[in-house]
Amino acid sequence: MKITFIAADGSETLVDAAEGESVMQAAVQNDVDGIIGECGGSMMCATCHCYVDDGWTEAVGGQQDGESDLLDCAASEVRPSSRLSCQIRMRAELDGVVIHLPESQL
Amino acid sequence: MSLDTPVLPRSGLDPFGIDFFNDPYPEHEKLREAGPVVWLERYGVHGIARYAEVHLVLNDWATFCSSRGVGLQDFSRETPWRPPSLVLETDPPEHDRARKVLARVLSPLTMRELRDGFAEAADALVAGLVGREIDGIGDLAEAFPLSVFPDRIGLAREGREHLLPYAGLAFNAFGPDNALRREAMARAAPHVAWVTEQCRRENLSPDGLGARIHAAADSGEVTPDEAVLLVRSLLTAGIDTTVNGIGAALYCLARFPDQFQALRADPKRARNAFEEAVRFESPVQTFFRTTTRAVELGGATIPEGSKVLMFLASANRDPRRWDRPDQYDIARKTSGHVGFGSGIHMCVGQLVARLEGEVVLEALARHAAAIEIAGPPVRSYNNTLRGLARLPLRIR
Amino acid sequence: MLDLPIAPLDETITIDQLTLAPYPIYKRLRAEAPVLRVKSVGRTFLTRAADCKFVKDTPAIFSSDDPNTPMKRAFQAHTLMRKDGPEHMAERMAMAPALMPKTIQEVWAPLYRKLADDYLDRLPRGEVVDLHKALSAPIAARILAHILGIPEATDEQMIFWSQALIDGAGNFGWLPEPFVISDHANLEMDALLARAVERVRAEPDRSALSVMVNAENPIPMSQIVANIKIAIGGGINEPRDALSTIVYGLLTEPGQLEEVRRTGKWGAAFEEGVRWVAPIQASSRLVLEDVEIRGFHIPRGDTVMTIQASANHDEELFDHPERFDAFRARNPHQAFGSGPHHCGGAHVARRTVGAIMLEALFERFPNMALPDPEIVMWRGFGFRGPINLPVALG
Repeated sequence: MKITFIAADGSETLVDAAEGESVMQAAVQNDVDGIIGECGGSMMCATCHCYVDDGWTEAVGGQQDGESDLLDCAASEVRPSSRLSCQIRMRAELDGVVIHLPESQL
Repeated sequence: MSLDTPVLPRSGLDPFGIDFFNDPYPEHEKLREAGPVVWLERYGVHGIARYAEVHLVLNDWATFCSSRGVGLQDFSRETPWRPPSLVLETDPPEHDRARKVLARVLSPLTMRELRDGFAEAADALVAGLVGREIDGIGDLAEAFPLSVFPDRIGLAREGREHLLPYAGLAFNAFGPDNALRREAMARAAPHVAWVTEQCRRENLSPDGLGARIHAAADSGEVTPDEAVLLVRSLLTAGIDTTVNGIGAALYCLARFPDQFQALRADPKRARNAFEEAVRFESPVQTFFRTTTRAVELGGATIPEGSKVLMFLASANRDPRRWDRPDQYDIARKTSGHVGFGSGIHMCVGQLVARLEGEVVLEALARHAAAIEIAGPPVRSYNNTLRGLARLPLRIR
Repeated sequence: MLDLPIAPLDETITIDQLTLAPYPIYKRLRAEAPVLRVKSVGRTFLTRAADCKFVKDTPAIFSSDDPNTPMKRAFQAHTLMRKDGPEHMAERMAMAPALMPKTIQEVWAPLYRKLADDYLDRLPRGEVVDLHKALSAPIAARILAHILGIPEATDEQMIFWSQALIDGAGNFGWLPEPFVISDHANLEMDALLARAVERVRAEPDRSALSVMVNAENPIPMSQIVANIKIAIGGGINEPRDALSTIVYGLLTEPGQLEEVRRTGKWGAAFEEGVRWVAPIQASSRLVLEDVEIRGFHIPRGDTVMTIQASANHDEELFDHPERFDAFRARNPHQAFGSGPHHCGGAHVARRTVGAIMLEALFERFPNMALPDPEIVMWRGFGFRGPINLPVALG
């Protein structure tokens, strides 16, 4: 499957991701700047913060239990499209998803 | 046994021996090269030293469980030395309920509350060390966490000298019944008595983190008895680990002066410099899991009820995963290292550790021009923790 | 006395052998060396019934106050089990009202009946269940928690505390870890007892804690606590093992089981079970003055061990002792000991396990079977019983 990451400066990176993998994992494994994932996906930080592209918010779905508490500590502005990318798992419906990255994670 | 059954490579290594502690790296490499799974004859357990297998095992909690203990002892066969940890030595669903409470108490929001106080304390402590020859462990790596964390937990002032020995005992207890473990057990009584007492609600300050854990009993998330054990987790794993983490960072920066200069040039790298030290030295060297079923791993079949020893430190230097693994590089992308573990049991106190590491290294970056080793370091020996007992340093 | 020989010394018997398969050894000793110094244990073994009874009935010579045992360290206390004379009696009397037949009849037996139903309800039908873990242990823990006056303790806590105390008290190698474990148990029990004491002061009941705390002239609190702990140490594994042993005996002797059912002689089955494999197999006594046993000089300062397990198989008293036979004409076993330290919980055991549970269990599961008797493992030198009992409930 494919994920398109759009950085704050507009540059795009296209990466491959496996089913069940999280968007955060795909970013980290492909050296995408702009996602850190400090806690390795254990819901203890907000350094995998991302904005889901408008065209994909319905498919991806809204914030899960506990995400908003952590997003309160995000370094960049929290928007309605904000998600913790470690909580977005790739599945067939998300092939080609577009993810915007915030200015900073720390 | 059919001819097709692969025979596991074997090793006679004692991974809890003093020689190994003094220099584990050649043995780590031998283990990694021998195969994905190695039979460790001395203790009759399966060992995994490569990143891929360690990461996989850490993330398959159902097959590789924690409720049978994460040390060599199998809790289904032997009585644990103390009532099991509700968070370290449990599996879902019990684990999740306990973890939720600790994760909330040690959340990013809590770190925001702690940050300024920690930064001030680090700044004052480090400023007083500049221009001196010090013991990096006693004067800094130990002194800093002890000066901030017990207060934040809300611990009584009297008796804090029991904290480090108690933690040392707990981490020794994961290992085999060797001299280190026996000696720790022989001296345990007063430490056990004090720590057990301090975990009780009435002995904790009402505005500390311990009190917040007990508050979870008010809302029925945990029972009062469970809250006591959760506070115990903080005391067990919340100090000796950070002492060894900060000690590791100091030792790294002293051995790699170009990296200290890079840190001075950009003190914002302090957090990652600490993270890289955790990968490089891996203060927590090993943990076990126990299989809940027969499982295929690295081409071998591991029977049900087997102990699997994960060499976290080796995984953190596996060339299959890391570029130039034996280089301490504060610019490295460290995400994915297993120094804090991985998966559902990944260290619940990692944010506290990172905060402490960050503020100490940041203070050093701003106050010190150079950090040099001023004498022979003395190693501390523990069945699970890697660290120094003394690190003579000159802070210029 | 000086012209009598000292007992012979054995240097071949090992603790492992005694733990795994003691009965053949005891049979040999009864015939060849009924008074024998066993080097590996550091004790003089007495394997004949008469000698065991003599020792237990003569506390003036054979003292329970042995300072060399790990029990004091394990319990962090000087319990009544290790005392003699008036002090022992006073502490024993202090808790006796909670354990006497009247109290059992009025309070504990009805409660046990209810608990038995509850715990039997929880057993899953249609699969093989380890009755030892699923029933024998928890029911023993539960009724004891009530009798002692600490019903807020969970079964798991009681079982852990009991084992921790037993392992600590049996830590003759003086290894550090068993004491660390018993220290933890003590800390937990102390904390729970502190709260329980407040509760029974405010709301007295018939429990051991309550009768001791609320007595007109109470014994010291340190002793109340110590003796609650000795009851925890001594009051779970034994009824647990007794129940499992008896069930094993009946399931492997279907003819006897049928007859017991027909005649209702569950009490006889109980007595036979604890004779056949005594839950407490051996006890120590310190010799206070030179004494003769069976022609041998037992010197002052020696420690003798009465082997109840062997006394219960003494050929002088029992025909075919190695066989489980619920219909023996006479059953003068010493499973509960003898003399001033005779088991304080004997009435409780007989009127709960013997009088209630056995019948309730076999009535609830009339087709209960032991699919593979060979799979049941027996362990223990000081304490003994099956460590598993996989049964098909039907």
